Amino acid sequence: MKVYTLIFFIFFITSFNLQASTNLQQLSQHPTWLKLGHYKKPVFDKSYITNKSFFISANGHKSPFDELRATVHHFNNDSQMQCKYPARYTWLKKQGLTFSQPKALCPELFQWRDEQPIHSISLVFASGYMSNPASLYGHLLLKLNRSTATKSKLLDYSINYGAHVPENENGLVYITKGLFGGYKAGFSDQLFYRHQHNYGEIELRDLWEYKLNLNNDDTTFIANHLWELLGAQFDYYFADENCAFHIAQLIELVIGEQLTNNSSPWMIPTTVFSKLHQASYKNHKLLKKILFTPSRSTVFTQYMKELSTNESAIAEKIYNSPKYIKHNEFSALNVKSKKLIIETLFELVQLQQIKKQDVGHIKDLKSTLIKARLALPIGNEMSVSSYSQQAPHKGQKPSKISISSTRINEQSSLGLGFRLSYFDSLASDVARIAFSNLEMVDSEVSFLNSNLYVDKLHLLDLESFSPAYVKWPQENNLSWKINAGFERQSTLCQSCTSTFLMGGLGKSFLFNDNKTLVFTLANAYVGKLAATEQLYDSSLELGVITTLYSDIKLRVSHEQFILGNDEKSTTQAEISIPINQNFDVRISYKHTNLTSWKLKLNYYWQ
Amino acid sequence: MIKKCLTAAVLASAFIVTPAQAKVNPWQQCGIGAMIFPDNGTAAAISNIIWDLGTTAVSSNVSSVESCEGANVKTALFIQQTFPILEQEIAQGEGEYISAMLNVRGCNSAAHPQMISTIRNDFSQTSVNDAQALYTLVESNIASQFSANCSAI
Repeated sequence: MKVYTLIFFIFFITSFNLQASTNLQQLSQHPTWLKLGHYKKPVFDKSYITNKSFFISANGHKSPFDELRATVHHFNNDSQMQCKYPARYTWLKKQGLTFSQPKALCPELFQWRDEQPIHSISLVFASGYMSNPASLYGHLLLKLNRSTATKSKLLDYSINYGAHVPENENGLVYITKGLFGGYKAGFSDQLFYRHQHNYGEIELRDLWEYKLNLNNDDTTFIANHLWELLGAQFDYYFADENCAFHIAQLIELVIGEQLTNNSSPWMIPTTVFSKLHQASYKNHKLLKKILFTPSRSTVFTQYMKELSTNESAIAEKIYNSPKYIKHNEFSALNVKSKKLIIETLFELVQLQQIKKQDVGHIKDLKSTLIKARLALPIGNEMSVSSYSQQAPHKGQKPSKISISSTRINEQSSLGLGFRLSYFDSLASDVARIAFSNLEMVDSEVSFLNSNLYVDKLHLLDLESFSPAYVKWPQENNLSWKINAGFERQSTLCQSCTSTFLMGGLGKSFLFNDNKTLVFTLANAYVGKLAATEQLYDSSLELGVITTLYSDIKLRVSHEQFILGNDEKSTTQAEISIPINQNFDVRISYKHTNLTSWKLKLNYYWQ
Repeated sequence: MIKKCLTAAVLASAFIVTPAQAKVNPWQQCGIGAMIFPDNGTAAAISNIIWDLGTTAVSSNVSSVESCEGANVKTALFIQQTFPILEQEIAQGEGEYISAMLNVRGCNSAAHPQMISTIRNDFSQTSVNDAQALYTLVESNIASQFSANCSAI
């Protein structure tokens, strides 16, 4: 009897262990477990997280099962592991697992998460910033909201994902490693005021906050997982494994919808917001509301519009000579007008302080304004009900394919085009810097007489115009341009090709209620150039970008080369007619040695 | 019950006054003065990268001294980073940054209007040219008039 009992017992234990192991095996392939370990799709045999200290098992970085088994073992033997991995613990308990260790208190986690409770989650978009290559596409960060009616949102937690870049890194190394790998990256948590201040007040980038409709359990689950991730290290790749990708993956942990695309070689922050806007969560919209925080420059431009002509004229006089604040013209104004003028000048002073322009004068002006404002009653007078800026999900999608028909000298050719990203100067102004151009890997081929011609391959085409948006002060900064790639002047011309690197500097000016930009550029070229036998050339360029009607835009430019041969100028014009967010039609004219007309249909996607 | 007691203990520990915290000069002893703060776009772009890596600049990079983790040091850091805006908001008598600063300092929101008004009044009568001077002004106001409205440090 005892032998049978023993055999039965051994069989029971063995089958129990086998069943437990089978259950763990199944559980280790659960989508949530794979997301908690940041395992790479589609095989899940490697994690995005590169530091082994994040994993409990020595094989954890490559084996979800080993990591799960080790996690269960540690939860049974060390209650403090609950504090290190609160998301894993919560999830495994929900799956029906029980552990021999009692629930731990985790005071540090409690203080971080619950002392001022995290009640909701937002994703924040910082608009693009042309002065830093890593910020051209905008930035995405996550906000753990703790604010209440009496606690400022500036003290919410903001979770940022960024590369670990050494101080004083060489610019070329920065770009190379950013694109091709070499930097480690990680998450950090800081109070939101640091980001609002850095982005909005110093880099002058508008912020868009997308508040999510997650329930309390899922909000806490994401917060718990972030707690686990704060020491984790990742490999950084600017194009795809960037802030947008890794922060969107955190949201994917609970929503059951894809915000990222693992097979795509690039990931752009605005794409996440487009998908976020469409996503559903537990039978309702994932997005709860969108909040806009204007940058300092946006605020100043808007304040200037709010001033009357007389107030603006007096403000200009005070700006030029702070002593004018004692002049009768200012003293005679009512309190409201005085406040409006001072508040507008305060915004301007902050902008000038950032730019470090005319430091002594600005310091005197600020001191004068503070004294004058202290003598007036408490409370702001300026009130802007709404800004014209539109949310990033309404913007044109970044990638483009096109089909075109070109007519040159009575011959027609069919063209196809592909652009990796992001926008050109005729694109919708939503969520981008107006008039600017930021295109990467923009290519066009054409078919003529059964032959295929590469007409264009621009690796990088950047244009940034910085016109003065207000009548005074004339903040007219330099415009600049960089372009690198290959171009054929026309499909019919076999020898008219250029492989070049060019840069330009110039000025730009606004007219027509800021709807028309006139620019001038002095350009320099190096490479194999169509217009000259030499390896370098230079040109002067004059152009106009304007809105004709609604969103219909026109760009006209004339470029005169200095060193070229007889064919030494290019005249171009292009009209953009938007159909919807995904399509537009372009009609363009180009005259070099030949004249061409092109009709193009663009489809924007991602 | 045990959980509630421990929770209360954790909450209370956040507000325990230690003599070291009360007397500390954040600029001299916690390294705030030595920290580099961005004041233009390029510096901010670089410092974003630096700042956004550690958990907090004070605890991970500059000082691990326990006395540098009090509400007063966090307030000093806040003032140091946002001084130009605070100057403007104090002159105007309201604003989200000045309110956030008082939140950081652990001051009851009901007392904010009175505190801002008092700070504004003193601001108009004394020379406050930098972050440290503003911090001193704020702390002296709390010590003399608003200690009951703000957390001990």
